[in-house]
Amino acid sequence: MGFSITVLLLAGFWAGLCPALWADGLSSNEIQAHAHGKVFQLMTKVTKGTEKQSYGTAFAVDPKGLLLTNYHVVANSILKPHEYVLELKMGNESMPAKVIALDVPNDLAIVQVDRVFPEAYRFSETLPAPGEKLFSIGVPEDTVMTIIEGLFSDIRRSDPVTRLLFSAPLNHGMSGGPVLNAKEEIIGVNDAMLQQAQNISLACPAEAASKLLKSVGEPGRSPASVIDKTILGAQAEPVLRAWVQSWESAQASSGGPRFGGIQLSNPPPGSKCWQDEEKKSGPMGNVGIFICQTQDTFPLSEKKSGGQVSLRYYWLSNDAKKAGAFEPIFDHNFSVSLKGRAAAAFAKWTRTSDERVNYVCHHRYVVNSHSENILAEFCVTQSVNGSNLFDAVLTAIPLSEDGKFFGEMQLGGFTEDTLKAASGAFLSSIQSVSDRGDAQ
Amino acid sequence: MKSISIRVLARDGSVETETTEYSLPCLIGRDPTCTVVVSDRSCSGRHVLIEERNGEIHLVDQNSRNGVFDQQGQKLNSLKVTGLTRVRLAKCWLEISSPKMHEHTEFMVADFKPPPIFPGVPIKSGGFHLLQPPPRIMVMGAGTAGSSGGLSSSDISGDWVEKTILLSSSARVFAFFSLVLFVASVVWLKDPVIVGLGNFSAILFLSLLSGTLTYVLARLFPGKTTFRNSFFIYCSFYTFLLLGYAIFDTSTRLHPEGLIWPQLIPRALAGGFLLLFLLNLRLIWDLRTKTLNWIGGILVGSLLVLLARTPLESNPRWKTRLPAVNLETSAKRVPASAYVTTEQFISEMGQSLETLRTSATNQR
Repeated sequence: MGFSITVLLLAGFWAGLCPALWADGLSSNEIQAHAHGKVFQLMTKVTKGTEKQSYGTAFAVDPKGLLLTNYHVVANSILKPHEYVLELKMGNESMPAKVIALDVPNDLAIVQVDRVFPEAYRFSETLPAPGEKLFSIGVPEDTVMTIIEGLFSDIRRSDPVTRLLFSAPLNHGMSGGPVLNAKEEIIGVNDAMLQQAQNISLACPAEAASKLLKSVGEPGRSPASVIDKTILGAQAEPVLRAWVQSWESAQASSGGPRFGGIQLSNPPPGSKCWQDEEKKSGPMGNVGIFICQTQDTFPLSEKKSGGQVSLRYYWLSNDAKKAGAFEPIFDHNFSVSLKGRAAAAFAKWTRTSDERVNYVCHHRYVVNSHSENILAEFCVTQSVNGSNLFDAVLTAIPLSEDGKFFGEMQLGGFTEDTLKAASGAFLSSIQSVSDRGDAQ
Repeated sequence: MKSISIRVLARDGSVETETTEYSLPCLIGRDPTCTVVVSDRSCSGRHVLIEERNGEIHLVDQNSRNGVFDQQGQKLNSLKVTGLTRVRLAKCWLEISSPKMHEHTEFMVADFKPPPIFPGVPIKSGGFHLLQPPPRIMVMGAGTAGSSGGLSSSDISGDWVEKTILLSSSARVFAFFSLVLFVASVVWLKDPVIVGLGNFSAILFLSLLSGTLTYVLARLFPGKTTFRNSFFIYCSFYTFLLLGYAIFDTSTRLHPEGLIWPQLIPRALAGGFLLLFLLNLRLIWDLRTKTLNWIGGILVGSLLVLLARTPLESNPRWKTRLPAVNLETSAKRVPASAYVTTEQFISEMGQSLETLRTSATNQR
């Protein structure tokens, strides 16, 4: 044992001394030096005036003036084309840039500038091994080009979208910059960091980026004509549909958690579910909460995301005998009434958000596919004004439980069809079981 | 025709007009047409009349706003003048003597010191001067007495606090503030119901508004503005306004279940009186010598703090008053015809989406 530790220490020593010998790749200073002709700051500017509205990073992927970046870096120029323009900063020079291709679910965009690049990055054919060293380049916080070393963790092919996970302290402004391996090949595109976490960063996969770049070269395609708001819904539809279908097929198989007299169907695969401790709530009983959330979403605008799902089920866990006993508890705990919760949430949101939001609410007594009587309510609004994507809150109260069970689903950035399908799946996720006593 | 000698002393005891002989009848007030013109702003235009009745000299209050008082602070409607008489017109002093007492008067006048406002506080010669900094009296409402134009205790004799109005320049100050706040809320938020200002600001605003209304009433009915009246009027205004706000606040209005009165009313009342108590803590402190005020204030205040803090649900008395749950949670209570299928519900969702889409198109 002592011997092997010594060997490892020695190996570490040599690795620190001669990194070039140890890894068959380039060092960070070489990669940084090479990046100067290939990685640039991409700015969104207000059409009237010279002010920067936001900034990100873009990098050359084709010598013919094509650069890869994030959709969210160029989103404003797509959503409000009359208000914002893109500019690429190359040294002291700025030149206009134009978006020619988008992949909204993968948060990717290709922009074109009128310039020939001497060299461009190539895509890696393979995924790195977990633990492999990666280099992330970008212009953080509007400062200077920065290279950050990180380690590859894994690829998350989960719900609606796929992202690479790696550990590196990314910062605002690095979005759209390349994630490279030691051979200077593109592994992914800097995308986001996990909130309330330390250095857990997400990158868009190179596979999707490479596919997007190839699509630009396809003959007979005139990309400029389709780059507007309608692309959001069109591109989100397939991934959202796949997600809803995976939930529907999960529902078809038996199982799923059971709370009180309610049997829930299986939650959407890939989403993260947890059960909170039952909270004692005054004299009337304990409230239990079961939550499922999608992990990866895709940005639509500065404030909105697509593919966002949050499922919550609340139940009164003791044997409260009075009908509707949940009502005052719910009112006490969450400051809103049970019925009209969705409407209240929307009303509050409308009052707190700076833009006026149009929304429609509606409630009904519904019989679901398990012949379950449910008081259901929904509120819907457009995710981005004028787009074909919607946000919704849906609530369901099974009447058999006398108000002791309450389900809620929040969806962000869904198309009409996928919203309807997800709503159907949510309503049919609730089924009462007569034998309350024994667990399944 | 009888004549009389009059000397006016300003509120600090300094001589305003030297002893002069006047013929009767003699009108005294701030109005320039009066026989004796006094400058103190607390005096009315026509404050008091000295006239001859059946050979006697009488002093008659001309229904003045701030009244006439004797040296003991007793309010007077009329007074028979015999020898040297001192009366207080609102805040300045008047010395009246008949001519035959003149010589004697000179002697006594030189010796005169106005009585102290707060008994036990030492007085310097040549007017009265409080050695301790005067405690500030808070006027009902959110405004404190400003140093310029506000009421300070040097303006107020002990009984004056209770007997005369507490609303003076300070009321004007917070009336002005409430006006500014209101205009700002209308112009800036484009909403006179001050939606969005938040509850605290709303409550502050309402208290200012109540203060203004109380002030207006005080101006309209000067004779009736006793401390007790003002307090009662203020409380009533405040409670009604707060209740109104609680009812018409958007969050309540948008509440799909409608109003929950048994919850709303005690909370509005408790909250309102709690704030009232806090705002007037200083006033209550200034009136601490009146034991009843003090004990009552603390008791009522504590009770309201308790009331406002107690969650409704944990109070069994309130619980029974909670309205029957509106939610039709029992399947038996919902007629079968009210139910739709999931498909129907989802197609209604489609219609809602269509509504949204058309409204967005119309906006553009």
